[in-house]
Amino acid sequence: MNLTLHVWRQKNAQADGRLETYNVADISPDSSFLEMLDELNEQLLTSGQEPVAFDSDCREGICGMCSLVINGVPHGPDRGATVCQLHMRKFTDGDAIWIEPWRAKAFPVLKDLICDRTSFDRIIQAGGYVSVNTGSAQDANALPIAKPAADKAFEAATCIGCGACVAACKNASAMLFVSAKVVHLAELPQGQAERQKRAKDMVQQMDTEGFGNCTNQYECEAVCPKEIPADFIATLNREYVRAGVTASE
Amino acid sequence: MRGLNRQKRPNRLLQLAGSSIGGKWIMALTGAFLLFFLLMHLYANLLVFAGPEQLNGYAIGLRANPLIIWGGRGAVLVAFVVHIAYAIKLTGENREARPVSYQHEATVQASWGSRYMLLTGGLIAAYVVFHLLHFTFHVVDTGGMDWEAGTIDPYSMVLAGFKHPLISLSYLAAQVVLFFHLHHAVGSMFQTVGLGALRAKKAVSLALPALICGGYSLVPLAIWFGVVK
Repeated sequence: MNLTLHVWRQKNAQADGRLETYNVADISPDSSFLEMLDELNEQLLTSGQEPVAFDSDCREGICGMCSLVINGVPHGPDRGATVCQLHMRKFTDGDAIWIEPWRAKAFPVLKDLICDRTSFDRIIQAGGYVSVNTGSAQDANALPIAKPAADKAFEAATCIGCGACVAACKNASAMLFVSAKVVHLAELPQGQAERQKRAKDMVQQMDTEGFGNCTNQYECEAVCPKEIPADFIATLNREYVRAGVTASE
Repeated sequence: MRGLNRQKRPNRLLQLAGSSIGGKWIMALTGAFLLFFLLMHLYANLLVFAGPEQLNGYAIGLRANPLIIWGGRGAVLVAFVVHIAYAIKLTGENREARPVSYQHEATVQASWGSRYMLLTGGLIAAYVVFHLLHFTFHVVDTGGMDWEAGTIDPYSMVLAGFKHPLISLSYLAAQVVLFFHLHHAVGSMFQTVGLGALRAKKAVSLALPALICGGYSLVPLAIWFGVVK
């Protein structure tokens, strides 16, 4: 496959970036999108140019590191998959492809296609955990959890924190991420003690980081590689107001 | 301790109102009230089909009770102003949240209505001003408004007004804009108050705006086609 790539290049966080156009030839349709970028980088290196910086780690869709907006869609055209799971057979020979980093004030671009997502870490630090030390694992059946609650908690827990929801949202809102974390722990007995404080503190941190407001357009759930439903945001809306009105702290 | 708790309470509400989710709730609740007003207004409009006695009787009854008419007007005005003020505040924050936009934009599933809420909302606000200048303040005079002291005749006023093609057409156009605004608004309202998983959400967000905008459109159409004379 021969492709024309329009790639966002930016020297560092302070510099202004711009789109650069590159041509890549003889790309196998069976290669992954990131392997295609690896080939582009080899080409750039051999011609003495700076390779394109992009994030990736596990390359099997579970770590949440890869973060490319392809033709305006975070993680590209495949539903329920990260960029590293996207294959070139989804494109056609001769295609022009636009590759940009996540765009949000709370995710500043560090270099080329890499952005700083530590704002998500700070939201987790604000309350996305159970702070009671429960010691070593107890007997599996000692703490019964209803199957629907366990399923819902697990569905929420599949969030890998990649930030595609923010990148896709027209308002750069982090509501789907925060809702997944809040719902995950609110469904489980271990999460009950800090349930209200957690919802309040995480939303407050989300607002402090400069994420936008949710306007219920559901672009987030459409691009989420783990297909987390926007229904969780409805649950968060309820949890937060309940916490805001009744929380003792 | 009691005194401390008392001091905390208003701060907590202020904090809620200033937060992103609090803002959503305020939009949803003021929107819900405006929706209720639209339904009440629709009921009154449809009385035109019951005849002049019914419609005028309703209007006279409403005006005879200052608490209802002024309380109602005040509440609608407050809801309208708060709804618009928050829309501007939240949209400003949303624009700030993405200082550098995408060079290649794409939309996966956001509805048309959801993407142009500020535009449709602005058009509705502008139309409401015109509508008030017409039917409430009578600045826009289309006849049938020369009421004698103590008698009001909204029936003749509505008939005379909608006989003007420009009045009717702009009214129908406003209904189309209102439909797109409400289509996103109703679904959004359920989601915001935590009823996102409600199965009926999709159906209601289509049926309720269709009922409201269709109902309103019936009046000028009926006058045009001579059903109401």
